[in-house]
Amino acid sequence: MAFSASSQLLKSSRSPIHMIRSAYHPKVIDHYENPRNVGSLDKADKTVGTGLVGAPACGDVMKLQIKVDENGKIVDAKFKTFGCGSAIASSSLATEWVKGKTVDQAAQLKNTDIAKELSLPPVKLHCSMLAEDAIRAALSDYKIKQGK
Amino acid sequence: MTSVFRSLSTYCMNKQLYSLRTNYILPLHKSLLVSTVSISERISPYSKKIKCWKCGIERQNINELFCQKCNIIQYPEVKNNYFKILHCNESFDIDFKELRGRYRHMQNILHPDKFSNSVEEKHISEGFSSLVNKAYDILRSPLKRAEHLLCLKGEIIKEDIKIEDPDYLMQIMDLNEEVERASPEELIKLNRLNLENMNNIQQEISEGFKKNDLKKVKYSIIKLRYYNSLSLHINNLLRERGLVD
Repeated sequence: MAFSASSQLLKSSRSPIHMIRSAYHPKVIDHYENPRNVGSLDKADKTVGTGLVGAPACGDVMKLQIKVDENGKIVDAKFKTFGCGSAIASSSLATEWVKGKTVDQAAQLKNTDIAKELSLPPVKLHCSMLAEDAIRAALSDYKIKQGK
Repeated sequence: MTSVFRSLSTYCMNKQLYSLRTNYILPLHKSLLVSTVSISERISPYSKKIKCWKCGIERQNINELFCQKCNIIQYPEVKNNYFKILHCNESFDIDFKELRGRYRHMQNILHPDKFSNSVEEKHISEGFSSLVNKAYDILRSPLKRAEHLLCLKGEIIKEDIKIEDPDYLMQIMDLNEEVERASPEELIKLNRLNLENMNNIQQEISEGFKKNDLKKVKYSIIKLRYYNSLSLHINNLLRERGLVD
């Protein structure tokens, strides 16, 4: 009796993974297959802020860079992510969103907005958090460089 | 019968074993009639008495997969300790050949095809062999083994633990980028380097467990996850380029 309960548990623990795989939202797949703004900016440039973050839970690493003009507007953004589809999609979307925004507006961006846009399942929420952390890290790097 | 149940539930409540109650009473209600003392012994993990589901004889060695009297396959007694399932010492350092040998031996005697005569025995063997597969999958991977052992020691790695070392992350990022643009020869070299790095971290984990320095173990496990992710990246590229099977 106790055993059949555990085999039920084994079965149910297997199925969610399957569900997640098949339930990737089309927007995630789109960003994964055609990622926007992949690449690097010169991190020594004073107008470039670099954010480098890692996900200790899965070993994903994400680099997000912003280039800011003299008016405090983000004119370019690039990212490089080594990780799962959701992490790539989250950072791709994040670069799209911060472009054209001011530094202060970009700081308002929430991981929940990214997760909502990409319809991320609960187990993938940390990927959107990673993107938010990356933006914050890039903004703070920029501010440090500017001596603000 | 009801009074026995009532006295047992009071016993359980008193001992704060309420959660165990439903698990233990229902399948064992027959033995309840004999004596409540034996039940309390059952509940204590130190004097667990297990009976064969088929012939009812008390089993001498619960590690045996079959009843010593009727030779019928038994339900696994341990389900969440993968070291115990494969009869290994609870240690990060394992002899891989020995583990593989034991795994193959167990799968050989537990194979569901050998129990096609009885529905129940087949059912038990299916569940048991899938459990053995799972255990082997966990133990053979250094990362999963370390995580499991940490979990058995009552520790988990929370999601918000971060490595507060930007240089380390930069190093991982650089390695990933290097892998991305590497030529086939460089890729093979990077793979070797990465395996070396992973071996060093496994050494750290092993030492951490020996000294019971679980904080260090956690930190090393996180590092190993980054290298593991890098290793997946390298292996995908090696496969794509047809450098490995």
